[in-house]
Amino acid sequence: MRFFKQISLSTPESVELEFTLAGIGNRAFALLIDYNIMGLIQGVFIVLWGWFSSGLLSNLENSGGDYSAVPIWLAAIGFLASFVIFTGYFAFFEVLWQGQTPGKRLVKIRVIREDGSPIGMAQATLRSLLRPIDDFFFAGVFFILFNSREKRVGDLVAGTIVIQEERPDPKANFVFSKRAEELAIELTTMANLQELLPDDFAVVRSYLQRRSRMATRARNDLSMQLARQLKTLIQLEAVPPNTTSDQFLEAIYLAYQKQVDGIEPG
Amino acid sequence: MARSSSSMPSMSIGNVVSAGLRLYGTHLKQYLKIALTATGWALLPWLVLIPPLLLSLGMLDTPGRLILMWLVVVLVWVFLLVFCLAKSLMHTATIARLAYGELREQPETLKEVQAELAPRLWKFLRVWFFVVVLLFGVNIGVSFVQTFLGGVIGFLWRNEAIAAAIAGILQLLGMGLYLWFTARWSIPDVAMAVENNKNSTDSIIRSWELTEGSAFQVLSALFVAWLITLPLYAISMIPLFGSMIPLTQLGRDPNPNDGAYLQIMGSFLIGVSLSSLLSIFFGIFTVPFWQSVKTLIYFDLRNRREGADLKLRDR
Repeated sequence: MRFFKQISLSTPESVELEFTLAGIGNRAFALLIDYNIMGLIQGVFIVLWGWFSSGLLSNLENSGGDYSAVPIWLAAIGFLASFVIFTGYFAFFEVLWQGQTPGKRLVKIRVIREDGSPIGMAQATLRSLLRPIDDFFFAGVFFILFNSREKRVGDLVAGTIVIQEERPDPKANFVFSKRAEELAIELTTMANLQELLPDDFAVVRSYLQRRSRMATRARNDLSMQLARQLKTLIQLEAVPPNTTSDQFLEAIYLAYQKQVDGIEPG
Repeated sequence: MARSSSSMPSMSIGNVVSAGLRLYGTHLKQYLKIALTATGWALLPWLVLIPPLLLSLGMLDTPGRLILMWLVVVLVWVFLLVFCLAKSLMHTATIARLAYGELREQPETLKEVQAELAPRLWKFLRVWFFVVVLLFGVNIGVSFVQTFLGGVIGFLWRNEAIAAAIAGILQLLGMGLYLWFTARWSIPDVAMAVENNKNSTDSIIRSWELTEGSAFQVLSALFVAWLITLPLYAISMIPLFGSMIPLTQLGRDPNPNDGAYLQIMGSFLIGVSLSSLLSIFFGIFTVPFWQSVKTLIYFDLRNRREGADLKLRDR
């Protein structure tokens, strides 16, 4: 689609691959999800670390001796651990799930190397370590907006890009009414199905795929309109009585499929 | 399969935002010019107030005339304010109409769109006003229910911790409910701009119908869009926060006649004004983005809910 940047990569095996870049919206949304999860993890860690520290300190106090330096050490270790969790979260998931974090997975985007291969530990760690720089005053947003390949600093250094995961087209898994199946057979003789172009078929297919999620009134209007136009297109004199527009469209779908199957050899 | 007219399936939340930004980027100059005009109309009533303010400085010794003058000014000004607001809303909606034309691949020229939308001037104002009133009503209603339930719970459980926890949950639920309504009424101006022969109530109902079952997606898209504009808002807040630092140095009982006090308050005022000016300035850049994103939401919902993209090719 023209609103998303397409890039083509050639793999080490000289295979050309087409990818759609993730886009700022998906990346911001994924980050939002990840940072919420991160917030939860950090919150739990802080509570646990605080509980552990206070327990330790009270034990030390009872044992006597000078432990005045301990609290600052505990704080430092806690801070360090929290940073490890921050970088580790992204690196861990991006390695484990081949370039995806929970947020990226939900939003359906993925980090890959510039040659199209999955990222490894080195790339994931670099991206993760440089994340604070990208977060600082939202520098990453500007990098993604103005870089031709939507790379933030982490991507530039690690040599990675973020792409949309190709979603397989939902299988045409329709339930057809009996009436439509009968009508499809009639149509092959009654109408001139040669007039139908692949474009028209695609529209009917999309309608049948998406109709269950449409608003009732709009769906009825659309179904009637498509049926009327198609009737004229295939030069059908009259639609057999007791046929709804939806049944008619189903019949067209089936009839067209049969026709194509008939023409294609094998 | 060959290129099909149904090449734009329903978009994900992130894609709605990215596509909105791309659409804005490809028409940057045109949309910015319109946004500048819209902002100009919104600012005009406030600029108009400057001359009478200056005049009143010279009329301080004749309070009778001063009051008379301000009575006239306020009367005229209210009309001007309403008119300018309508103008500003109409220009903002122009972007939505232009954007929708691009998305349908049937672009219109600016002149065509302006001619089409000019007669709807007052309708845009009414749409805006109704939504403001509706959301205000929701807000009052939600607060009322929250307070009532909070009171009942406080009465039933006299445990402070539990009551506070429940009050917190009620607060979150109330906010969620309010946001849900905001999402349902987020695109009536787009509907008004795009669809012909609609009155203001129709447009609000349209927004409600189209967003049915999609409030969460709409809200998420708006939120992600907001996140992306956050850097600009952050920049505009720098002077304000900067000028607030000296405020902390004020003692408990500052002496208003003290020079240092006046200086700190003066710098605070400058900070506030600078931040306001910056946010107005950045507003010019964010308005087209918001309109593009809202138009994409509308476009996507129409495809999804009504199959607006499912059209057989003309032969």
